[in-house]
Amino acid sequence: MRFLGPRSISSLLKTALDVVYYGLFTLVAGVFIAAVCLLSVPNLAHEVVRRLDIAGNIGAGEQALILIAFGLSLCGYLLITHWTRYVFQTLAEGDAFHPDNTKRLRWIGFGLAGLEIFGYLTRFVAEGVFHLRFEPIYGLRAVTAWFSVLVVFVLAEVFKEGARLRQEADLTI
Amino acid sequence: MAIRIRIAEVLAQRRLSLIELSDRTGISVRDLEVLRDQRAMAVRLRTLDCLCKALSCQPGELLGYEVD
Repeated sequence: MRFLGPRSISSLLKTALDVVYYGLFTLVAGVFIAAVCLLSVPNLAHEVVRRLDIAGNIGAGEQALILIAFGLSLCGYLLITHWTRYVFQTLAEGDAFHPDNTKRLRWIGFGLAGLEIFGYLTRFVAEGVFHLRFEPIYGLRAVTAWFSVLVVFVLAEVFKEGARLRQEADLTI
Repeated sequence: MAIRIRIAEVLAQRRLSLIELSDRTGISVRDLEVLRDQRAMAVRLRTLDCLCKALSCQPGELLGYEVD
């Protein structure tokens, strides 16, 4: 099976990413609706605490805030999926070194870095303000995300060089 | 780039069109337009050979160096 072009692994991944993208879109909408419901429906926050068996008493505002933070991180994943879809679309068309792919990969890198920083911030706030406890991240797990960010930026440069070489080949008569 | 391809001037001197040059050389009109509009990044020796043969000229007549 081919890796690039129509009816290849790239086009299969593009279809899979489309499904993930629309699934994430629905999930984000659901999370924000749930946040609005928590703020507007009386006793819902109390019911959530009771059902989830949480030790502390977290009010409707705090629960909505946690949901909004979760929704924002999902929005980050949504944007990353959106740019990845476009990259895979060009791969599925057989046009690997499309000039716009460099820009898209850079945005994916910034998105991944932003999500990681947002994750640290929300952990810090959740532990400090809401006294929630999270499993600590040690060793390789702590640096894997940053390595992947660097890999994406390196890939962006590879695509930039590829696009330059393609342009040079196109303009060699 | 300071290197200029003087294809338009040479064609005008010989009262030829790009289409006629394309027919003589086998180079596509699109590629000849790239050469004429100074958008080319590189020219193959094979291309230069075809152009010189079709226009009965020296490579020096087709290429020039002009400081911007």
